[in-house]
Amino acid sequence: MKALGLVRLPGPRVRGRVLLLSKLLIVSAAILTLVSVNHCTALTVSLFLLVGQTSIVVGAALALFVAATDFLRTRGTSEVHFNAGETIFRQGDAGDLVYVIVNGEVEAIREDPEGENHVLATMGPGEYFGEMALLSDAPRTATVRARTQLDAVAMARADFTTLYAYLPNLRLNVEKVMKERQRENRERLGSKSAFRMLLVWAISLALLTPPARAAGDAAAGEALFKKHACAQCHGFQGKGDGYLLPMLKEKPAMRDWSNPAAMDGITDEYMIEITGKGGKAVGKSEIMLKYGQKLTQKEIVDVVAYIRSLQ
Amino acid sequence: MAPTLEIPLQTGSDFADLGSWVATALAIAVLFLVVSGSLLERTRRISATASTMLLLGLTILPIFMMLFGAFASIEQAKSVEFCHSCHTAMNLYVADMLDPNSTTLAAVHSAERYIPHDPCYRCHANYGVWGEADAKFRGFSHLYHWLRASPTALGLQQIETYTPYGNDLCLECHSGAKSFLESGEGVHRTIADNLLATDEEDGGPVTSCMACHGPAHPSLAESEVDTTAVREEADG
Repeated sequence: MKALGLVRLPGPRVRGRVLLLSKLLIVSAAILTLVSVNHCTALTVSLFLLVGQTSIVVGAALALFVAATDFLRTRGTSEVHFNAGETIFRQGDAGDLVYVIVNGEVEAIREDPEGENHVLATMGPGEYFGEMALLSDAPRTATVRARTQLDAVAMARADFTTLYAYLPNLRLNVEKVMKERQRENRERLGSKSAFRMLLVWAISLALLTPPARAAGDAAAGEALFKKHACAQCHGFQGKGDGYLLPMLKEKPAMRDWSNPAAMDGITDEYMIEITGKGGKAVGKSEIMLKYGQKLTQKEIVDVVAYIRSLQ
Repeated sequence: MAPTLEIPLQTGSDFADLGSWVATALAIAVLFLVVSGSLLERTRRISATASTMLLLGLTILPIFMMLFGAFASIEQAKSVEFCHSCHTAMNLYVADMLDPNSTTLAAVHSAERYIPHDPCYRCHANYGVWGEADAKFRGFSHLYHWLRASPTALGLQQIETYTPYGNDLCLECHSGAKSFLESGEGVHRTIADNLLATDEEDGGPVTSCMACHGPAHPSLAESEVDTTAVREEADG
């Protein structure tokens, strides 16, 4: 690992212990402060000045250490080490890092709505994981745990998306692996609960309507998409890989419109609203401008229809 | 408490009390932020809020808590009540200082309110920041003797100052005063060199103020303290 020349950051277990120690020191110092200033005796004052003050300095330094390592971890590329059995991230966590395995093995586990755990895959040296949540701007879809002692390289979102945007071969490889994993996951989960899935499909067929599609003119929308240079950020294929993104100081989280998983839960109404009112109005990046004054309502619906057609 | 002429009239704000209030508020805020931040962190849903709370509770507020706590504690530790908290060792001196019939220097200064606040500290801590720091540092050794129940801490042995008592502590207030300069037909002017010079052997003044005006406190040998009873009580 040293040959990589990367900063080696402590894993979550070490981080958790350091943070716990910091909390214990600061809490004990706060209690000593309360006692000392409200019941001033030789013993309480001496304990506060000797033990309390030292606890505050050490506790604050440890907390700053944790904060600094957290900051470094999400801003660059670093080495990380996990012990066997240690959880690297959990299903539902926000995605912030991609991991490349150097030594050791991990397993990806998905918890279904009934609370049952399913091992989706095991991965070894040279393989990577954690890219799905970053590219689809969605929470982690599975829990990943170290099966053995694990050395890995953790790459922050900004680094990964820059490489992803500039290296076509990397992008092709990641997309291929993602599709393969999604297919495997579906098959694995499907085979384990075939009956349940059959039941769900039957109910879905009976109750659910087809996915909402914008009623606009996709061809007209495509022309508007090009005219207003939406591709600068969203990419010519709507993958969220526009050429302008790497030049931005604060890179907004981009959704891959061609990925059905990333578009899950995104309604036409939402897309019409964000196009008309801009990103800031719906709690997203203000880099997404508002087009309500440049485009008519019908034109916005046409653009949304074009975005839908990219899936 | 209603104003009375029996005790010094306190007016204006008391910075030590203010420091205590601020330190107490900060300590409670730190406890709240650490506990609630830890609980929020476990939910993993609003991690940014939890991180901010922990950063405030573990780094920024504790620094202020440390400063205000130290200020409030040290200010309170200058009071006579604080010095008297070592009862067995200090009873002899505090009781004498508060005795209106005593003629020792400490008692006269106390009875006439020459030093309105914190008289123990004012006469035994050298002036300036380093004097106060030195006094507090020596306070830790007092605690050590108290925990070890040494004869001095139990009041069985005469307390002595670490170094000869310097005239500068007296002259800080008296020097320049008309009563001081003109008393005794100007005797203080006559012996000024001796009052201001330092004895090379022991580092004390060549002529101590105590030589003429002492003693400052009663001696243990002349007191009526039953040291035998104290020792028997200490031995259990």
